[in-house]
Formats: sequence, structure tokens, C-alpha cells
Amino acid sequence: MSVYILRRLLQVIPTLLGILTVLFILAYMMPSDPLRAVLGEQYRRLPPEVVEGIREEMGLNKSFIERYGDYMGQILRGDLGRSYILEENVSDIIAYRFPRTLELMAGGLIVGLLIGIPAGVIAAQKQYQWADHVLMVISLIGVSVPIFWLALLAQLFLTQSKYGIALFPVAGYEDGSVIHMILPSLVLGTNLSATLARVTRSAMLEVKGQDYIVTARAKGLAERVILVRHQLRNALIPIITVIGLDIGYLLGGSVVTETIFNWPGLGRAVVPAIERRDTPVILGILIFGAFLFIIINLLTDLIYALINPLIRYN
Amino acid sequence: MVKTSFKVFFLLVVASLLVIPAAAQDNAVILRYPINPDPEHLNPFTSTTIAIGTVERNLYEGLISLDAPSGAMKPQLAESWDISDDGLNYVFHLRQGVLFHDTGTVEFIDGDREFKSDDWVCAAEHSVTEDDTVSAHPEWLESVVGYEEFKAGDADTISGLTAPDDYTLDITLSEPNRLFLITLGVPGIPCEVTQNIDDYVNSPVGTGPFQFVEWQRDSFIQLAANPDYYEEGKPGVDGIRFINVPDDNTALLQYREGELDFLTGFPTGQRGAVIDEFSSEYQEIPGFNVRYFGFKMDQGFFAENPLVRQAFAHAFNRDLVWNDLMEGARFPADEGYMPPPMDTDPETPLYDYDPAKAADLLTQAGFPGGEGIPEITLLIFSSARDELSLPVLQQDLKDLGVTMNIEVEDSTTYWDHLGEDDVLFFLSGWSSGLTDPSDVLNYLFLDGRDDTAYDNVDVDALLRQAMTEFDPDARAVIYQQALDLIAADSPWIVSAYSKVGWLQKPYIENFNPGGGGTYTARMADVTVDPSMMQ
Repeated sequence: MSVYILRRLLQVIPTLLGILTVLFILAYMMPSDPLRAVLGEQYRRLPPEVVEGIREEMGLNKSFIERYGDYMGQILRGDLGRSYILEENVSDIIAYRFPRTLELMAGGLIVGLLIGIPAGVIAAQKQYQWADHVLMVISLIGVSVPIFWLALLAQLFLTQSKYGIALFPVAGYEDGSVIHMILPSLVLGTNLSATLARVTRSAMLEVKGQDYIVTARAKGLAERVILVRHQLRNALIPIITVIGLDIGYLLGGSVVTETIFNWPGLGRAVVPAIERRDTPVILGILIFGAFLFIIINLLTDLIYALINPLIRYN
Repeated sequence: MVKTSFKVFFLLVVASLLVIPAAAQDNAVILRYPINPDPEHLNPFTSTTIAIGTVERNLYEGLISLDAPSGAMKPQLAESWDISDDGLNYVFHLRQGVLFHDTGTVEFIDGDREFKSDDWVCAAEHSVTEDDTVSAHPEWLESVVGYEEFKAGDADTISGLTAPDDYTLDITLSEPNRLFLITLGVPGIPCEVTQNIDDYVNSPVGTGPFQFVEWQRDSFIQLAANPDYYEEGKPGVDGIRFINVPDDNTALLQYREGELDFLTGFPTGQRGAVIDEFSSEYQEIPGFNVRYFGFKMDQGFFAENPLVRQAFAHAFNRDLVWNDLMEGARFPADEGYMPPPMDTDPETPLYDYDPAKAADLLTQAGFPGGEGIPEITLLIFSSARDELSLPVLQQDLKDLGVTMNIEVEDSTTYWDHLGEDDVLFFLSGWSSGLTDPSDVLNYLFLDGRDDTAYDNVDVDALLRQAMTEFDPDARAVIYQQALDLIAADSPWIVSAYSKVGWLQKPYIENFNPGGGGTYTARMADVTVDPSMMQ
């Protein structure tokens, strides 16, 4: 197992280098002069020779190869660079925002698990009955609804006394405040819960008629024990796969959720960075996201082995 | 087990509901003001954006300040100043006993650290540097004797800037500059901080009415009233929380639920409804921004056809766009090239909406019914809030027989593209920070600096003459002559002038911004009427 983990970790290096190269090329190819974005209105006010001086200071006058070489050297030294605009190191930007994004992702994941899995189990148990139909229609809507629209509805009906009931604050982040976390988590977790409900239902139905379930029932085990220990546990592999993949989706979905709910996470940093061509921030956050995704995939693979003793990585 | 977990979760939720927001603790009155985007930093030497300025103007002070609504100069760190008859020498008498903020974030400020002339000289010298990424404000001191030598590193001090004693500054200019006081933005910062400014851009220290408390990036910046502020009774509140709200819809919902005390932006398409809903809380003043469609004036079709430019200007129905379709978001530009609060003479010759005249002008230009005019392309940027002016202009030109296509680019690409030869017609705008016409005219019409590349030597001469004319009436005449020449050349279709509109809660008093935007209001003056608070 440890050899497998080491091998997978070593694979991360060339994967990240490949991703970084592609991202660097894309960032380089972005149209327009980054200085225009960096200087804003000042670009029009400053004399051209001053603008050119700043370009030289920032190394933006160098060729693609030189800039690529400089950036790779910097990355290999563990330095993600400094934002053109925020007067902050990219590593500090990530270190401040990532825990907040993680909080939101965790909230979304909890919502997804708490709603999605029980709904899927119930739907499978009540196959073709009205509960199954209702849950699947709701989950279909949940999968289809765009996050921004859901967020607006949630804000309108759950924060405004004029249109609904003002249960939660409209937006904002306070350290350690659970109340600020509930609504964005609900919104972010809705799509995941709908997906999980559908996957759980089909996985549960697949194992429902298996011999070991019949055997368990013949042994006289309680239905609850059969459901949880035998049926659900054996249905977990596809569920874990979906969760692993959807964590990446949660990271992406958090961009919209963070904007609407004033949540100071990574998404709130990367969107303005793209708008203002803040290349070090764009590259730093995207490469960090890619690294995260690779690690989550690795963990997902390891969890398979924990759930199913038949899976071994030798 | 499940029941216990649920109880714990439920209790957690209830407990969190009972958490009192910081803004309401100890009965302190904290203004909650929306801001977008989150300020990039709080370094006064490199600040160029409105977001930074919104916060910084409460933390830092200069020698003088400009009253936002009137533009009048008021004493700030300088109690008074004398100007020599030739306009070359300025002596500033500094206020005594002004203390820097003791925020606990700067280890060498422990107790009373007084602002003195050396601190100002230190900041002034820091702003003049060869390294252009250190200071973005060459305009502050560029007319001072010795500026160039110091900047080039050929002198250790700026020879025209001296501090005869702790409370006096003596500044000599190389030539008279009537904007010197207005643009003198050097802040009062402890010299120790100035010399290590990179370490303090996120924990600033100044002398302003509010001092820094906390910055949660992309969330909020909290300031507290400066307990040592020299102006008696100011500030009128205990603090300000600048809350970063990137989405106008969210800001509206927060304002409605009492999470914000001000609303400074309106969600697109909801302006009318919002003003109806909060009619008693809505305030509005004319702004200093002008929107226009620019013609490329140094090459291409429009450069060669002045009558076509004039025809287009007469064809555009600004009134329909801004009063009807855009629910009064801006004033239709029916007066001239300058926003009304800055216009020296509102009777400038105009291009009012007159389709018949527009058709006549096209015929005179040799394009009857638009025949012979190539398809034109208007370049715009995607975030422009002028959406509804575009189909109207398109239809107005179609009625003249002209086909107009619209090309949309993201704002960064757009600004870069503007300088290219293929862009002949574009949407643009200009916001002035000052009430002085030079802040519009010098940047847009002097030496072809605008993206239209409009350059008229007579206009240039007049604008230069106005810069050295100290008599306001004589200056107004010069500016009017320049504006008449510009209007005759018609490098723009002027579309609209901005309105500064906002909502404020009924208990807010003395919030008085200027035409530059709501951010120009002096927050130290704002007070709250407790009887109006629920």
C-alpha cells in the first residue's frame, strides 16, 4: 500500500508540471496588456516612458521562454510569486482564503451527504412508490437548477422578511459564526445532494437482489442491519466515486456561491485576478486547485480499499 | 445516538443565532458601508482605485483637504498657508499636537507620537522616486524645484522642499501651478512607517479621524474612531465597517434587512423599483462622469468626414435611453462635453436630438440616405452599464441608413484594443476626481491623449493658457473657447453625465458626497440620530 501511495505521489510532480505549462501558455496567450489592468486609470494618466519602466520592473517585457523559465525556477524554489495588484504574496493569498473555501466546501459536502444519501436510500427502499417518484423528481430539479438562481431564491425567501422569513443573514463571513455558513452551504450542497440521491438509489437497487442480501435476510437479521451493514456498505463504491469527483465541482461552485454570499474564499480571489490579468494569482490558485483535485482522487482510491477488503493496491 | 447528534447540531445553530454581530456590541455606533471591490491594498503611495480611496481618506490626511460637495480647500494637517505674490513659494503652518494612530500594530508607536514636518518631508521624498512601482503619484510634487534631480538620484533632497522647524514647511515651485494645492496628496505618515511601507500596507497608520482595526480580506475592513483626533466632536460615530459586497443584488437585500446603512449601487434593471420602494431614503446629486461614443480622429472614415460625426451626434436619442429605458440612471448629455457641475458655461453649442438635421448633414457630406457609408463597428466593453444605449443608437443610425455592428470585449482586452487602427468607433467614459475642468480636458483633449487621438493645436494652446490663469473668470472664458472648438470638431457623441445616487437609512445624518461619487463623503462628519434607530 505504501509503495502505491508513494508511486501516486511521485506521479503528482509531472502531472502538476504539465498542468502548469498549459496554464502558463494560456495565461500568456490571454489578450491585452496586463499592465493596462494593473495600472487601471493610471495607465492613461502616466507618460508612456513611465509605463514602459514599470513593464521592465515587472519583467513583462521579456520573451515567453524567459518568463516561463523564470516562473518555473520560482515554482521549484517553492515561491508562487507576488500578486501584481494586491501587494501580497500568492502563497499568503491562498493561505488566507483556502481555509474559508474549505469551510464552505465542507458545509456543502455535509448538506449533500445528509440529504442525498438518506433520500437515495429511501427512494430505493420505496422503489416505484410515490415517495420514490417525489424524491427523484426533486432530485432531478436539484441537479438541473443553476447555483446562482438557487442562491437568489434562498436569499429572497430565507433572509427577507418582505418576501419570506428572515432566518439567516443575507451574506457575509464572520470567524466561527455557524449562522453565516448555513445558507451558502445549503445552496452549494443542493446539486451534490441531488446527484448523490440518484446515485445512491441506483447503487442500492443494484445490490438489493444480491445473494448476500437474501442470505442476510434468511439469517433473520433486522432489516435496519441489512440495510446499513450489507446493502449500503456494498453500494458505497459508486457513491464515494461521485463524492470524490464532486468535491472538484464544489470547488468550482464555490466561486459563484462566494460571490453571492460575500464569502472570502479562493473563488473571490481568482475571478478579479482573471479580469485584471493578475497572472501570478491566476496560476497560483489554479495550480493549487489542480493539486487539491489530484490529492482528493488519491484519497478516494484509498478509501475504496477501506470500504471493500477485496480491493488491494499492491 | 442519532437523536443526541441532532440535539447538539440544533443547539449549535441556536447558539450561533444568538451571536451578536460585532457592529452592535457595547452600543457602539458602527457605520456599515458597502464597498466593491475589496481594496487591493492600503498603500497611499500606490493607490489608484476608488476602493482604496474610500478607505484611505478616513485613515490618512494631507496638508489640506477638498470639501467634497463644493470643491473648496480646507485646512487639514496644515492649519494655514501663505502663498507668495508670484505664486512660486508656499509656506505651510502645521497643526500642533496631531498624534498618529496608536493601533498597536506598529511597535515603534507606543503612546503619543506626534506628526511633525519631517514626517511629511519623508513621505514627500518617498513619493518621488525612480522606481515607478513605489509611487504612482508623480503629480503630487512634479512642479517643485529640485524634483527632477531628486528623482534621477542626482540630489539627496528635494531642494525646493524644506522644513525650517517641526511645524513649518517651505515649498518653492519651478513655475506657477494653480493646481498645486489641489493635487498635493502627500499623506502624513510616520517616517518609520514610510521607510518600511511594504510592511504596513495592510495595517496602516495615519492621522485621520478613524484608525485601522481589522481587515478580513474580501469580507470587511473595520475602522474605529480615532480617540485623539484633533477636531472636536469628530468623528460622529464610533467606527466604520467597510463591507465588501461584490453583487449589487446582495447589497440591496442586505440594505433592506438592515445589514448595511448605505446602498451605493443599484442592481441592473431594478433602479426604478428600488427608488420607489425606498423613496424617502434615496438621495441624488449630479456626478463628474461623462459617457461618450468616441470617433477615431487621426485616421479612417470618421477622421475624413466631420459632417458624418455631427450627423451621428444629432441622430442619437439620449433622452429615450437615459430618462425612459434606463429609468433615470444618468442625465442625458444635452449640454456639452463637460458634466454640468464642472461646466463653465452650460450654453455650449449642442448636438441635440434632431433626426431631420442628421439626415441633412449626411446629404451634405455626400452620403444621402446613408448611401456609401461603410458598415461601422462600435467597440464596447462587456461590463458597460450602457446596454440600452446601444440598441437605441443602432436603430437611430439605421433610420439614417447606416448599419452599425457591436463588438463586445472584456474590459482589459477592450482598453488594449482601443489603440489599434481597426477601432474607429467606441464607447468610453471619463470620471473626474476634481471639480476643476482641467481634470477632464487635459486628460482627454490635450496633445491627443484621448483614445480618439483628437489633437487640435488651438485647443492645446488654450488648455495650457488656462493652467497658468489664476483668475477664475478669465479662466472660464478660456475653457469656453476651448470647448467651442472641441464641439465644432465633434470627436464624440456625448451620451450622458453621471448621477451620484444612493440610499441611506433614515437615522444617518450629514453624509454629503461630491460629484466624484459617494466615496468622497467625509465620514468623520456623519452622525446618527438615535431616535430614528429601531
